[in-house]
Parts: sequence; structure tokens; C-alpha cells
Amino acid sequence: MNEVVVMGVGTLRFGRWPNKSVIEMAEVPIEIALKDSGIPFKDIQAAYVGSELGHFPDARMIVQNFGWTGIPISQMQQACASGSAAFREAYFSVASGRYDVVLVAGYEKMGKGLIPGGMPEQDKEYHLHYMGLDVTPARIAMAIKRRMLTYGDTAEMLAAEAAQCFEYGPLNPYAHNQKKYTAADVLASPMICSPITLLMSCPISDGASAAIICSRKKAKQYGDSRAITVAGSFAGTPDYNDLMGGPGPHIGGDFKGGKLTARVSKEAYEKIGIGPEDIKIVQCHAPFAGGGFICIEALGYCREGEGGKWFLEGKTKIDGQVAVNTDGGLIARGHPLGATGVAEIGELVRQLRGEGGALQIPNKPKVAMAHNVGLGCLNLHILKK
Amino acid sequence: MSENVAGAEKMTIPLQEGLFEMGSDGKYHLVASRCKSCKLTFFPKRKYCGKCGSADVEVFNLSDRGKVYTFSQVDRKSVYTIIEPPYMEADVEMPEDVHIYTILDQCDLKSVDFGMNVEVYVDKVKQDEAGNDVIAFKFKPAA
Repeated sequence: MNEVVVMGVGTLRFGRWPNKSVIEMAEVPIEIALKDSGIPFKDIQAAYVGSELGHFPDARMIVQNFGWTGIPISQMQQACASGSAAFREAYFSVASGRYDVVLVAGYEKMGKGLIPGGMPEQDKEYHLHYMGLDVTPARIAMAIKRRMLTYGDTAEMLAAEAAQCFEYGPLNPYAHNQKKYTAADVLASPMICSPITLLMSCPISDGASAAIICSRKKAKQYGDSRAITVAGSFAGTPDYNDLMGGPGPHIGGDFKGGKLTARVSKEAYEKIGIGPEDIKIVQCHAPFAGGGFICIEALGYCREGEGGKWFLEGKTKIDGQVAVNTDGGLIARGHPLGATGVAEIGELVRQLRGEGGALQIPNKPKVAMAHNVGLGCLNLHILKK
Repeated sequence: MSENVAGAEKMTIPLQEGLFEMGSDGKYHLVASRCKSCKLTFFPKRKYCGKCGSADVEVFNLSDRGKVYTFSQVDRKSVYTIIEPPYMEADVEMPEDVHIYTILDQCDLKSVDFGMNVEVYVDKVKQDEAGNDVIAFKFKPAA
């Protein structure tokens, strides 16, 4: 396998962009990423674009906006993990030696309200959809409710995770939510699915993000002093343990106990020969408060049941034992499905380069982890300076 | 005085086929599958075992009673939902070692708790364009 590096990253501020087409939205981060990489568009040999709610010509139009160079363009659809799925396929296309310079982009133009886990006329899961069982936050709410019984998780712990996101959001120029909310604000906001309140939930955001990746050999031609290595790409889907929580395999995934995250991260640690103690910064997929608890436990940072306490005690802050979601995470940065996974990579690349600005974590981090979950799928990337 | 035209008699139609069936006792029961090799039970029933992929599965009726494993009161409506919030979503643990996501109805939302005994029942949830009753399963506190 060839060494793969990230040469450039870019993000369009997450928010609401009703007047911009998806082509105009994606143009912004691709321009930033190309400039950041020092690589001209004409050198791009392939493109992978992630989106869940997009339409088939989008990816082609987004890339051909920069030139009809005749390169293969692929669109990846993997729910909330569509962006990291595009990054994963791009990574393997370079690691395998098929291409040297590849563009990755993620974008999403969201609708309103809760996102249903499927379409009744397509999947015929009428009971799931019509009976109101496809409400995503209800799944994590039920998992958290059970944790409250088992581990003593509290609403204050959930509020601490959300408040940490709102502490960092205003310091991230790409974050949707630029307002600082306190834990008390989070607790006082309207209930969505008990015990999850509105401010414990990711907002509805449009957005786009991009990255330029390259083989190390080719990167040297452009100047690779700021290049960040992709140490590994790992992926998985839930196993039968999650399925036994049915009906609703569409909403399987990692909401129950983080088993998928534990399994895939274990594989990553073993293959790369590192452990969580070596990774001081993590972007983890937590669209609702409590998601962070499950993640840091499953990723091996603390024991099962300790995640909530870690957030409450600030061990997950920028200067804590592991810096979690330094860009405000899904709750404050926002979560335009396909854009999220690539934006996570962008934040980690900036951090590893020491270009994290007001959100820069101390002690020059050397390794970082991007964790992105879709309904029933997970992509995990380890980056190294 | 029936307004039904010949051949258009009103029927009772399940919201989704295969989730429950009328037993010989005249009651509705949930339908699950169990792998003959792994012995794992799945609901809804599966053609292939969710663990080993074997098609050698037996289809059987689950018990009618279970216990609330966890729950959440849903206060927002998803796009396709025909149930009006607030409603209680619950994960019910069945004696056959399978969990079922369900609406918990006919209960005081504030009184729902872990381990609560609940039982399955079938309820009319809507009427279709032809005037047929559409039925689905729910759980309620066990008497």
C-alpha cells in the first residue's frame, strides 16, 4: 500500500444556504482545499463525493464546475457517514496505486425537521415509519435512559457535553451555531425525546467540505511540508447484536452500546500498532448529547459507564485527557450529513498542522482520529503528522 | 342500509404484513423466527438467520408479555408518522430473549418505568382510502 497524505482541506461554513445551489456550496471548500494543497485542479485524477440526500448529477456537476477534464467521479451515499465513505474510497484509490491525486468532497442541503430512517414506499417498513419508530433521537434517548439506570448518567452530564460543543462552536468560523449556550440553557430548552432536549441535538444545517489527497511520492513534487499522513482507514456495519434490537435495521448503527465503534477501533489500533493513549484528539460522531459518552468508552478512553463523568469533569476539553469535538462537534458545528465526515478530517488536519487557531490543542498533537457513523455504518480514519 | 357495493366489503388490513397473526385462540400474536442452529430469535421474522445466514429457521409466535427495557417520550413528529406526539416509544424485552421497539399506549406517560410488565395488542391505527380498518401492534401495561 502506498502512503497517502492529505494535502489540502476546506469547509464552507455550516448553516442555512437556501439561495445557493449545491454546486455553488461545494465550490467554496473545493477552492479552499485546492489553494491549501498547492495542487491545480487539472492534476486531479479522480473525485469521490459524499451526500445522502443528493441527486445523481450533483457530484459530476460539482466537480465539472472546475473543468470537464474527463476524470472518473463517484458519488457515495452512506447516510451521516457519506463524507467519510467518500474519503475512505479516495484513500484506497491512492493507497492501491490506482491514482496519485484525488479530490474528496462532501455536501448536503437539508430539509426541515427530523430525518426519517428510510422511505416507506421504498423499503416497505410501514410499521417503523408510520408508527413513529424511525425517530433517530429517540433511539439514543432510549440508550441514554437505560444508561441512567445502569451507570447513573444524569441530565447534567448530557448538558455538559452539549455545553462543551457550544463553548467551541463560537470559536470555529465554520460552525453553524456561533452562540454560546450554558449547561443551564441546554437543560431549559424544549424536550425532543426525553431526556434529549433541543440544544442537546444537532441543528439542521446545509454545508460542504473538501479535501485533496495524494500519494506521498507525488506530494513531494508539490511540497509536502504541511502534508498529514492517513495512517489507516477502517469501516464496518453493525453485527447481529444490534439487529436483535429490532425492528428497524435502518436505525441499527451504534446507538445501543457502541459495539460497532469498539470493534472497528480495536481493529484500527491493532493494525496501526497504537492505542487510545497515543491519540489526544478525536472528532467523534455525536449528533445528540450522550453520543460522546458512548464514543469515548467504545474508543477505549475510559471504562464503560464513565463517559458522562468525563464530560462533566472536563476531561474531554481541549486541554483535557482527550480533546473531543474541538470544532463544536455535530451539536454546534452542525451536521449536513455528507459534509460532516470530510469536515472532521479538515479540523484534524488543521490541528495536526498546528493551525487550529483559538481551538488549537496544546502539546503539538501527533495523531488524531475521525469517527463518523451513518445509520448502520461506520468509517474511522487515523491521521498522523 | 349498508352502503357497501357488492364485493367491496370492509376489511381489516395489517399496516405491515408478517409482524403478527391471528392464533387459533382468536388472539393476535407477534411472529418471530429462530435459527435452528444458532438458536437466536429475531423479530420481525427473518428468512435468513441474522447471525449465521442459515435459511433453516423456524417461525413461531412470541409470548404476549414482556418488560420495558428502556423508553423515551417522543415530543416531535417524524415526516411519515401517523401517531400524534407526545407518545411513548419503548424497547420491550421479551422472554424469548429478543427486544421489540414499539409504541407504548393506553398508559399514563409519566408512570412508565423500567421493568414494567406490558402486553402486546393490536389496534386500529387508521382507515385507508377504501374505508378498510388498518391495524398495527402496540404494547400496553399488562393488567
